[in-house]
Amino acid sequence: MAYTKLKCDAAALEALIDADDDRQANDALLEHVEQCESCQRRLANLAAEDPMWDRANRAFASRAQSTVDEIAPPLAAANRFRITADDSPQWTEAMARQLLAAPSHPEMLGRLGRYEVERLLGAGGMGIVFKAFDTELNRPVAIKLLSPHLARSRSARERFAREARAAAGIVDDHVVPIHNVESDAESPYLVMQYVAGGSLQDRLNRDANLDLCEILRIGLQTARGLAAAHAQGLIHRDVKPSNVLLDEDVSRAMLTDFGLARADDDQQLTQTGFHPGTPQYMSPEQVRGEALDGRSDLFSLGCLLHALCTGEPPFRGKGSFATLRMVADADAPSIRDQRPALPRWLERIVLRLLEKQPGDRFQSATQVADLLESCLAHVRNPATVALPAALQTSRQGSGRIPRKRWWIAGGWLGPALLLATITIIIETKDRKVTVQVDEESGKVIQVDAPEEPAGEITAGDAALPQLAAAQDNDSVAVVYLIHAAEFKRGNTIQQLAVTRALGEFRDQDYCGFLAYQRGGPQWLWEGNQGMSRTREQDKVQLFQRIKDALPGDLPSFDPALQMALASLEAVDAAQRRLIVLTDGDPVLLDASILDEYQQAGIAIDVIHTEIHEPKYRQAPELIAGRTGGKYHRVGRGQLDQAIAKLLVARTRDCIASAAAPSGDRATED
Amino acid sequence: MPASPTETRVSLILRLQDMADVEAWDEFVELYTPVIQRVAKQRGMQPADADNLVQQVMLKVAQSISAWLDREDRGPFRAWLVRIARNESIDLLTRRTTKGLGVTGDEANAAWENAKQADQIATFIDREYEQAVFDWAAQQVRQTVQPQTWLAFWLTHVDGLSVQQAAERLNVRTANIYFGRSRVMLRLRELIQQYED
Repeated sequence: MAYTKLKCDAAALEALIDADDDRQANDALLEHVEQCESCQRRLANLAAEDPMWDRANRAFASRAQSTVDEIAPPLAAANRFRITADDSPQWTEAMARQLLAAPSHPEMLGRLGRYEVERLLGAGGMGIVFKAFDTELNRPVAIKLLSPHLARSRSARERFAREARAAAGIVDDHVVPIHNVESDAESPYLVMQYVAGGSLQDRLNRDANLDLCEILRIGLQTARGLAAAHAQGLIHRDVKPSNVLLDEDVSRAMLTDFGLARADDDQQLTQTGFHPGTPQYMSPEQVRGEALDGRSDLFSLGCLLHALCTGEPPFRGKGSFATLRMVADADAPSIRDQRPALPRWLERIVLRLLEKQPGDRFQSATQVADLLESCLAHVRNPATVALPAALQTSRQGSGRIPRKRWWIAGGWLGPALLLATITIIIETKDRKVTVQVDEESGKVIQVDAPEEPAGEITAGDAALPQLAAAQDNDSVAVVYLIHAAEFKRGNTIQQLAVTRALGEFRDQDYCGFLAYQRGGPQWLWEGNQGMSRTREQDKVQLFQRIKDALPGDLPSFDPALQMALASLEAVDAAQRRLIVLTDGDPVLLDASILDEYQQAGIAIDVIHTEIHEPKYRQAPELIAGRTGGKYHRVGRGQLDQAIAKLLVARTRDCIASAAAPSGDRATED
Repeated sequence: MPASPTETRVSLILRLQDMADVEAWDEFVELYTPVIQRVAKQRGMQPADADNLVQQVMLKVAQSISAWLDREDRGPFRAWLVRIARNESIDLLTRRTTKGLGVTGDEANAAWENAKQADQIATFIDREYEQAVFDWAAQQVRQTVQPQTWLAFWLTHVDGLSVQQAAERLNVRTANIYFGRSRVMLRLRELIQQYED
């Protein structure tokens, strides 16, 4: 027989199963394998050991052949996180027609409620935009319809409705007004003013060399629109020429598409995805995935101004990846290299907007708009209107517009900035010290104390002794409340231990907070695993009891209580001001508790990290408000236990170093 | 405010300098999404909530990548992703179920229940994960081999046909079945092992 002529050849078998399908065994080998059981076994074993074959059998047994194709159905959330995926559909009028009711007139595309839809204007990641006619009010409108594949998703619908609400809340000449929102429709849509002139991108495509007045006018009007949005606490996040519409009749630029805009008070909804489109107008902090504030929009505005001057955005790499790297790392190119006729001061304004660090840019859209407006007045009438002083002073040399420390210049930016950093405010009898701590690293970024010499302050840990110095002779208390769920898994044993311990001491009225005092015992307690919803009240009673016990009659069994006493003294010494880090648990909301704090004269500064549902959001803010403290919010999940610990530990270090003799301070590291 | 998924995605590209890691991330998202989804379903969550859970896990994982990059002894990216996603999923799911238990006051027992639940969830996740890895590997392999090579594997090893029957069905020699199914199994094994170190 043929196979006897052929010897078993393991290497040949191995090579063949490793090869692609276009390489097949020759007939002789096929014949050999058909006859040779040992080669049949060998083929199986070369592919995988028996247990793996068995596992494959088990894993696939539950999958009928037909379902293999359906496995891993594309899920909205997965697509959002995929780096390479871009499956936004390309809409055609024929497709769009299917979303609409039949038109009343044959020349129309279709009908949507009382709107006769004329044609498709465009499509983005989120929706489709039509030009339509409002039959009741007899005017042309633009309608943005949520894409049907998103209309099924509750979160997408919510986000769409939120966009409508957000944008509708901005009334400004330079923001496209929202007329109407239909959020209950099968596919929700919003109705906007129809702006006839097309987008700024269309304009740039036609004419890459706008004259100086046009550059300034469009730049200033876009900045005005942004200022209006920022005033509502909204960050646009997608400022680019295609999102600026030009009303040619009245020479007006109007900002549109608040689809990505986010207010700092709705973390949850805004995590819904969108397609990134061009990264060329993203800010470095967006690219790095960092926390954002209005100054991110100012960077994008800088890109837009650059495009107004030269026809192209400043950062253009080969492909998204290269572009993103440039946004993050590369110096902005000069506009005057491409258009030397443009004034130097304009270039300085653009470069200032394109600073990588938000703190180095202009600090508000209003500031930019005002500046551009003055420039425009100057250009139109150079004889009678002088260039703004800030631009004149740095006319010679490469001097930039003088920077201000942002928290002084910040204006409305104040609260938003807290999202990137944690601010600890320590108020004492005659001083107020503000410490900015970077959320990610826990490093102290800035210390703002009255005694500081003017000018730039060194960032980093070197600032700690300064803080300590400012703190000298004062005390501070930090109370730290955090939900038990913040215990990371892996700490389960510890979690249980804490729980049990608290259970045992249940009647002793204390739980769940940390307090620190200079020179005293540092840790009071950690976590509030054992704290039920009524426990916060217990804690206030504890405070009261400690106060009552102040002469020294402390229960001896309870070292923690003694620490609580120490912390209370610290609170008193720090002018009855507590800094509370909290996850916003509703236990804090009890009115009687607030009264107690109020009566005790303790103001509570609340740093609130959101991990709970929106309905719990009011509590921390109320606490701060009712007790006369300050309220800050940090992003969901941004302030985890580790960071909070670090923060607290640093505060403790500061206090400890303040307690040390002043000679030692220099050696503090 | 925290980064959006797109910003997260973009920042991942920047942080993961190694293109292989970027690919590993994409694969991971594709692979792990159905796992979380099924676990969510098994826990009685609505599809919208499941979607939300997927999102939360992915964001958490993405946020942790910096920490992984900073580690001296970081192992393979893939293995780390799977480990942390498992932990975050359990964390989020147990957090969800224990909310509101504090009212009764028996926190110690609640925590104990919590730990037990976490174990159940972990077991379920591990099983679903193995399933997902095989499903994913099957998809990959199907794209690289010809249909009848795939069928040589599937008919004999999953549908339970004999080699002879499969050969007749596919109209090929029996030896082609032996070769074909080993070809498939070898590729499956190689892919699966990437996820099991």
